[in-house]
Amino acid sequence: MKRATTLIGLLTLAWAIPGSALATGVTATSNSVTSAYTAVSSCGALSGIAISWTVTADIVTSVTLTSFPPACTGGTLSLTFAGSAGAAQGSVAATTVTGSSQTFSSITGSPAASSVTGAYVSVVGP
Amino acid sequence: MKTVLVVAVTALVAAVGGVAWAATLTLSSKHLGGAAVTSPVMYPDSVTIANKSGGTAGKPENGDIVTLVWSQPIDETTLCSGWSNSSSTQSVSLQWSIIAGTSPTDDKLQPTGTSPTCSGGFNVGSIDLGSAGYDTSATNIDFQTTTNALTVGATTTTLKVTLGGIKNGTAGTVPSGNAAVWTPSAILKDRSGNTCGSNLAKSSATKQF
Repeated sequence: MKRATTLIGLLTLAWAIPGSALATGVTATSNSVTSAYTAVSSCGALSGIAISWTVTADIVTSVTLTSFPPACTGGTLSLTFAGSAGAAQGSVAATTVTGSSQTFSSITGSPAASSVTGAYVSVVGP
Repeated sequence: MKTVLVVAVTALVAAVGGVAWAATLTLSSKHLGGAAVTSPVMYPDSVTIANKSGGTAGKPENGDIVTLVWSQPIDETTLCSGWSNSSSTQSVSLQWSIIAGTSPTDDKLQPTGTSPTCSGGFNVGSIDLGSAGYDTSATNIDFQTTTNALTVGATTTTLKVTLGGIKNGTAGTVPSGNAAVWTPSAILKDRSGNTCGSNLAKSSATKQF
C-alpha cells in the first residue's frame, strides 16, 4: 500500500513538474488567457469575383470588382495585388461592400499592372 | 508519505486549473472569407498623345503622335485582317478622325478609314480626349494619311500613330483638359484569345496633342 501510494505520488509529480520546467524564462504580459471555438463561413463564393482595372502608364489607378455575392453587401472588403511569388504589390484599403459591383480608386502602393499576377480578396462580415 | 500526497494533489490542481479559467470570446461576425482571384492579362497598358516637335501644345495637328500599348503580344489578324503574326512589325496608312463632341460630351479620336489590307476594319477602339475643345466645329477633323506602325514585342505590343493629312473640322487649342481614356476594341485579342474586356487606359497628361 505504501509502495503504491508513493508510486502514484511520484508519477503525478513527474507529470506536473515538466510543465513547470517549460515555463522557465517566460514573462507573462497578462494574467488573462482565453480560448474558444466557433465555426465561421464566407458570405459567398469570393473566387467568382472578377477584376477589371484602369491603368495609367502601367500603374493601376482604379479597380472594379464585379460579381460580388449578394450576401456580402455590408461586409468589409480588403484586396491585395500580388506579384510573382505572392509578393504584395499594392492594396485597396478596407471598404464596405455596397453591391454586386464596386469601383475603388484609392489604391496604395502604386502597383505596376505588368507586375501583378493575381489578387487576394477577403470579406469580413456582414 | 503525506508530504508526497500533498505535493501530488497540489500539482494536479495547478495543472488542471487552466481549464477552469477559460472565459468567453465574442465574435462580431461569423462570416469570414477570402479567395485568390484572377487579375487582367490582356489590357490597354498606356496611351499617350504627344505634340510634334515645334507644334502648338493642346492643338491637334499633322505630325502629332499617338502611342498605344497593349499588355500582351496581340493576334495581329484581329487588329487588321490582312496582317499575320509571322511579322513583328506592320504598317498601314489609314484615316483617323476626331469625332466632334459637344460639352459635356468630349471629342473622340479613332480610326475611321478603310484599307484593302484591313478590310475588316482597324480594331483599335476609341480615345475619349477629355475635352470637347479640340474640334471647335460640328464637323469631324479627318487625318486622311495617318501612318499606323505596329511593333509586337516579347511581352507587349505598341502601335505608333502619326497623324497626317488634316482636313475638315476646325482644330482648337485646349489650355487645360482632362486625361484621355482609351477604350479598346472588343474584337482585338492577344495570342491566347483574350480580349481587353472592360479594362481601360488613361493618359498621364491632362492636355492632349
